[in-house]
Amino acid sequence: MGGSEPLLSTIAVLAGVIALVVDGRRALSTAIVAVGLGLAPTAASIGGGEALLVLLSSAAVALIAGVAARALASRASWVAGLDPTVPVLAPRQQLFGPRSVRVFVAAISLPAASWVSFNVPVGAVAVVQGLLFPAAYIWTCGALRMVVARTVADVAIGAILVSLGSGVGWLVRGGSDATTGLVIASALPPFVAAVAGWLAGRHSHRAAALREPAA
Amino acid sequence: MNVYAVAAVWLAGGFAGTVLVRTLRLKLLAVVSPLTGAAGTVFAAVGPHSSPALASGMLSLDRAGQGLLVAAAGSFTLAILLARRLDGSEAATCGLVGAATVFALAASSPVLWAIVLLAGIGALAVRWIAVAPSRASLAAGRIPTAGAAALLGAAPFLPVVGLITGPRPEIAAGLLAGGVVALLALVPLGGWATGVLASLRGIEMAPWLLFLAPAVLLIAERVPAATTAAGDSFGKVLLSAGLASAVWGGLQGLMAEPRLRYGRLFLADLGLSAAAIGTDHPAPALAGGFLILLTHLTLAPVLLQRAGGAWEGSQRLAWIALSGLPPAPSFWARFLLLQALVQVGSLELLASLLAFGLMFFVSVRGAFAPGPAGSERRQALEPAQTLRQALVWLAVGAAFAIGAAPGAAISAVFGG
Repeated sequence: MGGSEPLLSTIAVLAGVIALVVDGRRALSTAIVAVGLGLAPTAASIGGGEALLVLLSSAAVALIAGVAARALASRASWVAGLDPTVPVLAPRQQLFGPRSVRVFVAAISLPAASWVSFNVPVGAVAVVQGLLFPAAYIWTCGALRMVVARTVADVAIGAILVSLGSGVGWLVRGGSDATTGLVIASALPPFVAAVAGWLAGRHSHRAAALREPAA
Repeated sequence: MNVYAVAAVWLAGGFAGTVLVRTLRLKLLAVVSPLTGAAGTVFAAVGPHSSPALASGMLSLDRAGQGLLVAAAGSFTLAILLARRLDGSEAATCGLVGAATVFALAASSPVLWAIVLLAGIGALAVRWIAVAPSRASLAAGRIPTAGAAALLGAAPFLPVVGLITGPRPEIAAGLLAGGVVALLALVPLGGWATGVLASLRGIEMAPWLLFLAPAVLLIAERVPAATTAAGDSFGKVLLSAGLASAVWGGLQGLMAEPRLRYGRLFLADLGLSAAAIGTDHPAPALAGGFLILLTHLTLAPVLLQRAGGAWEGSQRLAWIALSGLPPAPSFWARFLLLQALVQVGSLELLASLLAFGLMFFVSVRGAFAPGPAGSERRQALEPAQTLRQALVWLAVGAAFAIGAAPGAAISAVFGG
């Protein structure tokens, strides 16, 4: 591995925390950028330029797909829509809000990913240990964001984190199909971003249609 | 036709079905989706297939996967024809989930397998949340997607065969078992399925019930061979969660209101099949699992509909087909599963027998429950639905035909 392990891990932790706590209309785009950039150094140091290209392309295509789907949906004819950023249920009064829960999740993901990285050897050909932290941290953040999800956007962000984290984890595992696995895992974020963008665009169209008669 | 083409046919058929329903305003055109998919699957190139957990081999659909897809497509077609209300999106959902199932059944890479399951269950969850935003549909967005994430998380640690030191085999087997338990809605992660069954129409639940759950069960059967280094950890988790699901599903089925009774029985049967897979006896477990799947693929479209009305008699007979008594197909299915479970130990045998007894009483309650009264009966007896009634009788007849020749049915659908 070329890069400094602590530096790669720190970048991944920053990316994971951003992707976990981000909320609102731009949450998905922010999470895609954060995770793409957060895992890029790890992918580059393990898989070289090819892996870096796959990861960054996935993030870029996901961003474009999200924006394009949103624009397309806002021009389509009116249909009842679901806003991916609105909680499915009205939250109860509680001491800690959803973001506090996610910060807690980010904190407990640290020791979990650290334990996996240093105690579980991976490798299809040669066994490696201690390199899995960035991927394991992003995967744990994603899985836990799904578990505490309140909106469709939360599930979408979780799916993106999990797929990119697993893709880089597969790269660390190595073997003849290492890059193929990363390509497969990287195919999900554009699909997820397009669906979320479509839902958001359709909802904004409905919101505009509802505002018009009132005005 | 290769796997990519088959998946593309499913997707194209799904979206064509939705467009046709919306433009021509003829709801029955939604059948274009499963029928196109089935036609594409029939022409699929069939080849040998290894467990995705072994992380080796080519992307290819085997005979069992092909048979399952065609049978599920037929079952979904029947569900569409019998559904009282459709909005057209069911066709697109079927196409999407069908395409995901094609890849899941053909995948030999653990990454591809988990990614397509995540995409399939994620698409379904979004649909469920859009149709009925509630705590139940939100749980359906959280738990099975997290299960698919667990399968994806296991990928870097696979395969775990041969001499591997450290906790890697246990981590891999644990993630795989957790993922399968969540996706099959087994105890303790099965609450999401009963919640969705209670809050959504049967046709909304059908893609999970007819495509994803059978596909996960079929693939789960191939996992133990790829996790030998973990001992039988995967099997033990599946055995205990499956038996607990079967007993719990039976108990809940006895107490459930009529419209939820079938869902509970399906989950109990799914639990039993998963438990049998968890034993060390794959031959009877696989045959019993195939028969359970065939029985439910035949009867689910009938029993997912609202009870009573013109279909009351046929629905009662469908419940009898699920009783576990000969000549019902469920008798042979549960008998084969018992053959696998009886070899594990006395506690497992006791739990299986208890589950069988409970499931028998659930189906008896279903068969002899009083029909809907008052306004519900008047609603149910609306226009004459001769064709639909004939289809229902055909499905029930097919179920008893499976019971009469179980071996031939398995060979015809899943290959020899």
